[in-house]
Amino acid sequence: KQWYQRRVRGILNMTSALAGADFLKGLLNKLLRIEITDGRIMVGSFLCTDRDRNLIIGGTAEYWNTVEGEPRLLGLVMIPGKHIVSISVDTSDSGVASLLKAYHKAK
Amino acid sequence: MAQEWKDVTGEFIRSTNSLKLGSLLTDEKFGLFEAMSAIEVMDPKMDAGMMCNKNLCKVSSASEAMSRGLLPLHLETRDIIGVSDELLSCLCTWLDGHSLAQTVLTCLYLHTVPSIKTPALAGICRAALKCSEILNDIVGSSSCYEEEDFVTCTYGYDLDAGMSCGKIVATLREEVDRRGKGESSPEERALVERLNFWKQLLDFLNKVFHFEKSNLESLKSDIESLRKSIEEMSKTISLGTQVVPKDGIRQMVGFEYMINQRLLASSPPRFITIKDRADSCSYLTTVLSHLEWLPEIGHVTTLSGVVKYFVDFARLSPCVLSRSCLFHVFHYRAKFLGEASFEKLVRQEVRKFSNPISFFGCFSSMEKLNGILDDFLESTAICVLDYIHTLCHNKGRQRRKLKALLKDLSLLYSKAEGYDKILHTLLSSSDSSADHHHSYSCYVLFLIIEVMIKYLGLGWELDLYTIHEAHYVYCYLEYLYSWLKQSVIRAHEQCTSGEAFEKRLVKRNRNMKKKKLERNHQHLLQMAEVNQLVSQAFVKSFEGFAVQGKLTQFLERQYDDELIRFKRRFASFDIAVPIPLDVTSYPTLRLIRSRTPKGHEVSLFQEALNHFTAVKKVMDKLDSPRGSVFSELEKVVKMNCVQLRLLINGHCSDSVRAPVLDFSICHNIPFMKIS
Repeated sequence: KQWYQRRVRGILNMTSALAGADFLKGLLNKLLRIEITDGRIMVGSFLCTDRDRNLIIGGTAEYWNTVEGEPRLLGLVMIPGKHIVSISVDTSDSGVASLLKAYHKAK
Repeated sequence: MAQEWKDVTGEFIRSTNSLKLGSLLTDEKFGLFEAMSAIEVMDPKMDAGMMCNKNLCKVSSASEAMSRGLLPLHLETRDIIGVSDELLSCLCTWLDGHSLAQTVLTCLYLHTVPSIKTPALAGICRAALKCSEILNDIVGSSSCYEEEDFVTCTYGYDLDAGMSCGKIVATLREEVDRRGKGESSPEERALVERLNFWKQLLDFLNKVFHFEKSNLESLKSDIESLRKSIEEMSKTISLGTQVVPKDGIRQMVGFEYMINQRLLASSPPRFITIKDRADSCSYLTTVLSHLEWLPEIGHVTTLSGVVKYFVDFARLSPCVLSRSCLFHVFHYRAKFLGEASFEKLVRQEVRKFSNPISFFGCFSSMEKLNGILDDFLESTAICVLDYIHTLCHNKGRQRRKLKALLKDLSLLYSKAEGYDKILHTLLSSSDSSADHHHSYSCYVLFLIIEVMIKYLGLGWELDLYTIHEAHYVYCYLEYLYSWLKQSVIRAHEQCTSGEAFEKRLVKRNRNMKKKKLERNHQHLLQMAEVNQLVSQAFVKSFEGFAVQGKLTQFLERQYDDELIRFKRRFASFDIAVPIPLDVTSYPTLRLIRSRTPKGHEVSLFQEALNHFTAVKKVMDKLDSPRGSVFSELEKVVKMNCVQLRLLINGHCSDSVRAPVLDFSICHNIPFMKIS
């Protein structure tokens, strides 16, 4: 029975692993809104990530306060994972909305 | 487009946890090469938006500063002196290669000149703006700068100052006269000196920009009075309000150093330091010493003179301003000093060099001949201009440009050869004694060799060669000088046949006067002989050093290969004529060292000494006026002879220290130092 439980857990992990990678792949090139540790907000297209959540985003605009001030346009930006406070997606994009739904279903 | 943000941090973290360590999740189109240039956030060196790098400006514009009362519009004399000196420092920092936004344009007064109440300050600000505009135009139009030399971007600011040059100069003169009256304190006098300086600077730059050949001589006295002004100003720097460092930030009345940071590209933040005021004065004095070459260009009348002038000028590694001014004046309105056409200069030079029959007036009615002649002169003029333009660039960039120039010259050579053939058949059909075999091509060959020699010489000036490379550099130089002699000999033959042809024409046509032209073939041949002998001497000397073991540390290097080095060093010389020296025919030092038994280096040194002695003989026969260049050459040859004699007698024979080539006495020919 223990062996069986381990096997199921393994399969479940694999599925969630698949779900995880697919989720991220689905988010590629979509707009992300990232809050970093010093309070700045970066908005740009998601281009690359890794296990440590180091993000590369393109066409980035940098905002200084939560109220949409005048953004600074930075272009290609790399945000170290350790400086990320929160990541948000734009659910008005239908692709993103359906991706989220699928992710939660898979869980 | 309204965005509805939903936090997915948890989902994201869980998803990334499932990734393998070291793997990247990317799109197919993603490239690491592009990603290399991404700005890393929260890295102080790369992130301009970080708190510590954030704009520490108290104000964001000059008008804001005025409305908040932070920009005084009435200034005391001390303050005006301080602002003037700081503006000058900013100007020098800009000329040194930094951007306008971080230097001159940090002065708030320049953004709001009409509001300034003190006429002296207003005058200085207008002058500074106008000077910046003219400097920008001169450097921009001459195009002798590279990105490391100068930044021409004006960031959208209008540098016009709203007044013409003449008006600004007039207002400054009025102010000088007004303040000069009556008793004056040292501060008043210092301010007057500065007003004078800006007036003179503006006047000078305007004269250069709207150049007229008749003004050239007067530039000499202008430069001299500018120099005097700077000297006076440097004595009274302390009288002005100084920069006060407060909380680690430089504070100066009327300046906001970070005001334009947002205008800079979102590349890594660059904080520059404005030059010290005393340093700025000495910097300007150096610039003026380079600019002193400007009036001298009026004495140059021949093309070879022009080339020599610019070669000598370039050797100083002059600043971007002087290089640009010189080229601007030289090339004013696409004419030589704004007056003569370049084709005419080329024509005079070619006539002096090889006396082509096609230049003779009797053929001026032949359309086909004239078409070819004009095209040849035009193409040659373009190449020569390109050479001069290259010489006006900074030294580090010259070699690459010379390589491109050699390709153009090679094309010109094949064109000239073709033209020679056509003209020869054309002219000899009517008169069998007409000779146009090499008339055009020998001159182009001469140019090509000159450029190649310059290319190799630059290697020494830029410290590019290691000492053991001197062997093949001088091997190639010897080869080039033999080609140079060839081209001069060909030219001489053409001249003689041309003169014979001319004599017959004069006999036939009494109206035609025979023009006697001084030719310097003999001198050219002698100098080429001198240089060839010197090169041969160095070749033998270095072979001797290799045998003696002085170059072992270079020859024994594990992955070094002399033949590969040779091929790469002279890859730029891969043109049709002169035929590139064959790498397989080059005797490597390793080979020589293995073939020659130790002890035989004495005979090599003896050969070198013989060559240097032969040089002395040729120099004694030189019949041209002996200038300082000649005496430098003599001295260096003597020193080399002494050194070789010592070596032959066994001096330092055990030493394995590599010799050093010293170019301090004669810039073309070094003397050897053994220790």
